[in-house]
Amino acid sequence: MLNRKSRRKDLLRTVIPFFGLVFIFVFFTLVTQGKMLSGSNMTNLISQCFSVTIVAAGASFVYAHGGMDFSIGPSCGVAQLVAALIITQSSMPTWIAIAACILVAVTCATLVGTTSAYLNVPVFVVSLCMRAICSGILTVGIAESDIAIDYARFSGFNSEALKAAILLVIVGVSYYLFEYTSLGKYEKAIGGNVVTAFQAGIVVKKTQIAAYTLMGLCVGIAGFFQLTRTAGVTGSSGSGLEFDIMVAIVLGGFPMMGGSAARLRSVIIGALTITILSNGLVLWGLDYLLVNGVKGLLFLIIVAISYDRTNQNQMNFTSA
Amino acid sequence: MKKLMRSICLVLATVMLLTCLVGCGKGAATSSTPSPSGFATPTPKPASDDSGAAGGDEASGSKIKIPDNLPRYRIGVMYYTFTDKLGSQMKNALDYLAGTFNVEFVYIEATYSSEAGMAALETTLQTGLDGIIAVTSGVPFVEACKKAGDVPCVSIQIEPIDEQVAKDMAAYANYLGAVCENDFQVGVNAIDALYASGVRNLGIVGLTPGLARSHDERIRGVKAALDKYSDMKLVAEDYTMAEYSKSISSFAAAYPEMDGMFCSQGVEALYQTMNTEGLIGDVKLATVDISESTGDYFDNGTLVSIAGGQYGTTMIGFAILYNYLHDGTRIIPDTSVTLRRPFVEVKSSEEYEQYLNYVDSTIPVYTADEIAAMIRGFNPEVTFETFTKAADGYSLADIVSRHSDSF
Amino acid sequence: MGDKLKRYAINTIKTLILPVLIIALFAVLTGGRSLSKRMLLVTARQSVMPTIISMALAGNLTLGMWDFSAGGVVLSAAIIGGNLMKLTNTGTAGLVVICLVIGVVMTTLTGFLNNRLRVPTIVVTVGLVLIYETIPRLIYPGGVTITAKYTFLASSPYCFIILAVMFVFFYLLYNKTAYGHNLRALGGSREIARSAGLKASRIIQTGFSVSGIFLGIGAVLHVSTNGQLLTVTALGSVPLIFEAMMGVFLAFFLSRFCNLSIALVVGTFTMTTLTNGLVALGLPATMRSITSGLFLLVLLCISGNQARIIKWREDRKRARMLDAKHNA
Repeated sequence: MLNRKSRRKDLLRTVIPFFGLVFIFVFFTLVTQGKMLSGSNMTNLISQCFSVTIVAAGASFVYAHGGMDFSIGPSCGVAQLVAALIITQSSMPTWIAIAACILVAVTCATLVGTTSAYLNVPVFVVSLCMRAICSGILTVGIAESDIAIDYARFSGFNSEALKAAILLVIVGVSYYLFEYTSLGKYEKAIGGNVVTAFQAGIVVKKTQIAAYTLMGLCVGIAGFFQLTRTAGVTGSSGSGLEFDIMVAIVLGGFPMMGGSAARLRSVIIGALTITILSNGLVLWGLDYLLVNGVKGLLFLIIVAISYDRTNQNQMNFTSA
Repeated sequence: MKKLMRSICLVLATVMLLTCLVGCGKGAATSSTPSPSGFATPTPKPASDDSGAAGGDEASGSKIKIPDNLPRYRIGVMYYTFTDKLGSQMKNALDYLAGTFNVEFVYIEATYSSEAGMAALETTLQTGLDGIIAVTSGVPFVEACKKAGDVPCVSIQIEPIDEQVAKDMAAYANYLGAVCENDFQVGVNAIDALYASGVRNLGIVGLTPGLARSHDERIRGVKAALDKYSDMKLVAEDYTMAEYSKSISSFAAAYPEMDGMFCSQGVEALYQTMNTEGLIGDVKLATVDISESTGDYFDNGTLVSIAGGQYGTTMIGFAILYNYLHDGTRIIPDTSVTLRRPFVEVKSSEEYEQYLNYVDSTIPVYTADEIAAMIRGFNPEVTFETFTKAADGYSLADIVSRHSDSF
Repeated sequence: MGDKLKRYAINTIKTLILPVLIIALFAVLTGGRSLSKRMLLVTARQSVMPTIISMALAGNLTLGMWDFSAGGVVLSAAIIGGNLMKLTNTGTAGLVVICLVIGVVMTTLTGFLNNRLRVPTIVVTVGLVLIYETIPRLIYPGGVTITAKYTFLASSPYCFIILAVMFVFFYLLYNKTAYGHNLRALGGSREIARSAGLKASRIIQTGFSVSGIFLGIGAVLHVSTNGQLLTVTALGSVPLIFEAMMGVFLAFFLSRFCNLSIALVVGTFTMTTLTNGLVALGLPATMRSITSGLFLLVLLCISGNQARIIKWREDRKRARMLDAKHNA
């Protein structure tokens, strides 16, 4: 009977966010009289969900072990800045700019993970400090005005077909790593109980750092595509990405403390949900004054219904 | 039982919320509601009827016939936020024009995030816009409008970052041009005014670089003007958005020799902090964006120069777009060249009173008839030269001379 | 008694060494510019609002709960409170009362939802901050502007009187009431606290409601400092509390040597001194954010690894002794 109860719970946890996504999609399709389903809007959705979904796929490894990172946005901005400077100030080929973008994002994320893991500082605090540092670097790097890149030169990167393909590849690879390799299992094990994971022979610190590195890789890729989409870097490039990721994680029913209940599909569902929600509210014609308030309200309602409450321990921000 | 009740409550809450949203969504479909505290709605009749409408009389000395049965256009307007002073003035000015020109304006808040702004723009274009006026510039903006069905677009209050980008944008058929204030010049004028008033040690506070190009241009103008004066030096600068108050207090404490300040955004916090820090009488101020305390700070000798009235640019942007929508007229022949307009500059409390009466009151800086006079379909005499002359002549004196009969 | 006094003196030195060192360092680097009486007064005044907000955050952080909606509460209370003050013509007293009421109502709602929904506070508050930011946008989209005669609370000595009152309130609440003890007990270990009969949900609810008092006062100071506040959207209020947050983390570090209430004052003052020192040094504001982030990170790294540093030094000392013995 206990098994049946926990299986039902598991099923509900999986099904509710998915039904939430379908419901929102159907709802906005109806109220916008089909505009949601139009070809041009679907291609817009691909562009709009691209960054959040890719970064969420990477961040799922971090959240699976109970970590988090508030510096995703500013570090994405700094990565874009470096790429933009290489593009505009040098004649180096594009792949170097891409590599630099990824390298900067990986470095920032790895620094957060390493500092937290090896220096006993709560990851929450480390990521906030890194956030302040990256915001400052971004503004210093921008100097006098935003930096523009040649849109036509990188128009290929704005192809929805390319983005869809890259999205599928990254989500596919992340899914495989998360669900079928020891990396994913170890992250979940650490999220479940770090002491047990250690005693089971998992090299906890290195595994945690690997998660941040993977997330940094995704942030770097997303950052470069954001740069080509907006054809420039501004002081607010990447801003808000960390909150979008957190919302995506929660909306998909992914446990914030990690553990064995963590599923990559939850994160993907959450990322798609938040994108469709933002898209749908504007498409529907909701007054601009209301959009964010309604988003917040819907977020709370969905969380109330679908959040997994089995792991009740709060994150402890005051000790490692 | 408890869980069941909880689930029922949540479902009920969801249903209630959705019901409210249905109401909101329907209500928001017509976005251009007359602003309760905005400009007087002009009587949407031909100017020749001489009905004494709040819009005033004919412009350019000739009667402009605005037909009654104009086709309805749906125009998107994108700005950082419509809740600040400038944003609300822009919205009020456009709502004022909506009746006369039979336009439904759809307002999009871009915030300062380029990614979020891009997403909002793309999505709003999907709702079916006939045109868009936006505080964004760059090829992605024009490309997004092109993809949405060659939607004609105008950039306002921002210009392409460089000549190459301007040329790239001009290559798009749906791009009608950019119109913005001369932010660089306003920065130069501010420093000239401060120098003339005896300032030799300057502090600058402004928006974070890269957030809004207009602010960046103002700072560039300031620094270019500083180079002219060898005996005027920059003692401190700070570009942290929404922390002007803290910056000014810190400057005042760290640099007691500071005798002048330029702020790229004239918020009340400036005046408040100068008062709190006891800087009145010791530090002169020049800024952009006119607010409630402007008159008082001219009276006490703090303010030497202030500029505002930028919402007029939005109305010009509308005129550029409407020219095209009405009969395909491209009033700006070479869209790689930005149409730069002056600010309304105010230099005394008397001028501030005039500003209040003529710029920030019931009649906007351009009446509906004056805008109609810029539309070639209504006024065949309009050319690019006359259009730019009208735009270039923008000043407090110009507005007063045009509207003195209205008050 | 002598030992106690000695320990007290050492802890006092450890508490105050950071701000004193930073002041001294910048005094040297700026040729005395940062040491002026005015600069110290301005720094003290600028740290009042973040200190009071940090008192609101500290209580919840003791329980491991992060309230992201604090900035939204401050902004909403300030805008709505300021406008209602003008409407009711109740002056500064009215401003204080209304902001307090709004602050407490909003944080009570936060606590209620936190308890009812049983999801991490960070999740609830991210959703709530969007709602709290929208409320003033709907009612007062133009924000609030209040005239100078109502803004004296932000100037000295009034702001310091407010700080003193809130300090005493926080100290008594946190150290001398059952609520404070229960808060710390729950923060130490929830399971043990529950086993001891403490009602976690009631303590959490009270904690949030009490934080509303501090946030309400923070709102009064925020609108008094600026005179005009505009509405924000899309988590635009969150940066409002980052400075207070940095102060809280520093305060947790300093709370080893002194009471948390003192640590909050010293911690926030230290961060403000650091940023103002950089201003006096002529560094751009953007460098301040880098420097503050680095400073806090380095400090917390050192504090988190003190035992390892001490062990490393002892190991080296022992190794040197053994080497000397061997060579002899």
